[in-house]
Amino acid sequence: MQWLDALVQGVLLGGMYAQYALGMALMFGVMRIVNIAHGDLMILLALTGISLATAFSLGTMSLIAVLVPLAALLGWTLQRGILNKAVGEDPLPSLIATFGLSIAVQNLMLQIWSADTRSLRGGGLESASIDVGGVYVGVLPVIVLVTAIALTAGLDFIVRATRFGRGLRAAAADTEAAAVTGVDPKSIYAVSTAIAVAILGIAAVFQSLRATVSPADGPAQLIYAFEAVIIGGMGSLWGAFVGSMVLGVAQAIGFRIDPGWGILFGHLVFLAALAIRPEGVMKRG
Amino acid sequence: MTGPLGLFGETDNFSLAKIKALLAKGLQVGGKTYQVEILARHAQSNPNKAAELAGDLILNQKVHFMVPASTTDINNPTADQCELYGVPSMSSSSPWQAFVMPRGGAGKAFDWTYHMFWGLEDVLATYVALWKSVETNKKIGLLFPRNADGETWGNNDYGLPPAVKKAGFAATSPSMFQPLTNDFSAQISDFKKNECDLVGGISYVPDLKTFITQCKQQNYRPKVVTVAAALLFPSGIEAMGELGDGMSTEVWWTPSFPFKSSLTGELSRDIANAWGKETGKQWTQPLGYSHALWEVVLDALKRSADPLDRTANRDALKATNLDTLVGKISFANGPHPNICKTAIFGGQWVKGQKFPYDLKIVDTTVSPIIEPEAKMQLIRWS
Repeated sequence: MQWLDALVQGVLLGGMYAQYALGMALMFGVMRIVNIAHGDLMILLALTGISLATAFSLGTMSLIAVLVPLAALLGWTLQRGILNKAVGEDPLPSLIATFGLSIAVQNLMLQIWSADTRSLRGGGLESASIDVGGVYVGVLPVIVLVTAIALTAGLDFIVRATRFGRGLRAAAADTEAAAVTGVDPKSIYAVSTAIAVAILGIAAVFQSLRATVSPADGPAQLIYAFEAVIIGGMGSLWGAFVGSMVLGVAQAIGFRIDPGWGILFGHLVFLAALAIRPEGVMKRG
Repeated sequence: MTGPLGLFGETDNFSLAKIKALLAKGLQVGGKTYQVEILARHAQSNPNKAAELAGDLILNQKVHFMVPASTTDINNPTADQCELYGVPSMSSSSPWQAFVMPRGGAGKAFDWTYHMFWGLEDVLATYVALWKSVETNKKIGLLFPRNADGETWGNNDYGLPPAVKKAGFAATSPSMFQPLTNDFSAQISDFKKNECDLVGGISYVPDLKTFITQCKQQNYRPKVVTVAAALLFPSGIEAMGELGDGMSTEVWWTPSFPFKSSLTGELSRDIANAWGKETGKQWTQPLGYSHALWEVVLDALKRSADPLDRTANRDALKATNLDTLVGKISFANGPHPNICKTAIFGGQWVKGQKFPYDLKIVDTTVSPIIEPEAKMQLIRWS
């Protein structure tokens, strides 16, 4: 029973990590950009969301409806304004650019929101749960997991089956050849980052409901997204999802063995995955 | 100050502005008027930065007095510099053991650096008193993060676990959690299994929010939740949302302190009101100490044989015997020659009128200088 509970909580935890990992996997898969500012952008969106919700007394759903387009716009501007200038064969410039961005965003947030820890009120949603045969399943975590599955499936469909997806895969495979065949890689990049940050907009709302956010929190969540993406196979969307599940379950099982070990256990599984299958569990060719 | 300790700096800035206004006409010492120049430096919540700034202030700006603020990360490196170069220093807002022990003061006195605050033994006694004051099954679940604070609080020799056991409580103490943990269901299932009516320990805001949200999800409803650190500031309790109602913590200062400022004659209530009026924010606990530090410093300067002499200032500081906003300050009877212990109470956050939550003093066992404002209530889970 205890282990079933751990498994359930682990899968739910994995759903949260998947929301962080998905955008990162997309950006890496398409542009080979390792976005160090990923976590900070999530916190930026969360704090923006909390301020918006307070100012206009928005509910959770309407907040997501407002925040996601805003996030997409942020992602698009970011790619057009900064990252498109840094992206290329050499992964170092974009790495340094996002690293700088991370520091800049953190300090900007400190200026605007101060070091206060904030959270969003969900009117009881965040702590509601259903009793399934003795295992309490949180309503919010289930919503998070279902959203993560829907996002992964939707994004996977876009990449596989749409014209934009073909252009995206072409640009990922060979930027110059794609450009020759009428694909504009820079605009593909901008849309990809817009999608990646839009997903963070959703993740941000859930994060501020279930826990709290403060300007310095970004990097702590970045590491899990990072590990999930690597376990799954850099750039693979379902891989990122599976990686998140592996990480979430590993942590939850670890917590049950000893509450001090959970996070370490996650890291160990990550290292094991790296040693045994460095190309990731879902990597295709 | 900015950064993670930024909330401590807010009240320091406020008090500093008041003190500067007060000193506009100079300070009377032994019939002579001295112009007092206060050089405020910004330590960015960074111990290395604090040490560097202290060195600059001492060696280049030739200050005669140092006031580090605040908490251990800033107090200790600054005080170390003061000790090294011989400058009197007066600090607060960290338990006295944190000021004395890491700096090698266990068996000896410091020559230059003084500190006023309560100690670990006081806060532990306060927690135990809080928990004894309500009707529970006396089973307690303990939460400690794996960092310097958690190791101290959770220590099996002098921390919270032996203190509660001695008071007749059964303690469940899962191993320490890593700060910013995303899942507390293991601890919750442990507490549930052991039927813990109470939860205590130390935690920061993000972890406490994750924990309490999961408690509700997992249908675990402790009657008492008392933690240090996370519940110090109003922003912390507000981040808990509805689930913060009834949580308890230690209190070092509130506007209901009965003492007057030796500088302005204001009561704690007046200072809290001025803060509320000027900032539009709820009062915070460091406010009283931000003010009282200046009381002690200016009092020492006034009594100093020569305020331009560091040794004379130190001697005056050492002889301090002053009634301040936070109570009587004297280094004569402290647990350590450089320490003056100040009051600590048990407090509970309850639904407020003007702000979402108000902090009420519910236990004064350890420092019986005032009466409790209310009786400790069990948490009502709705």
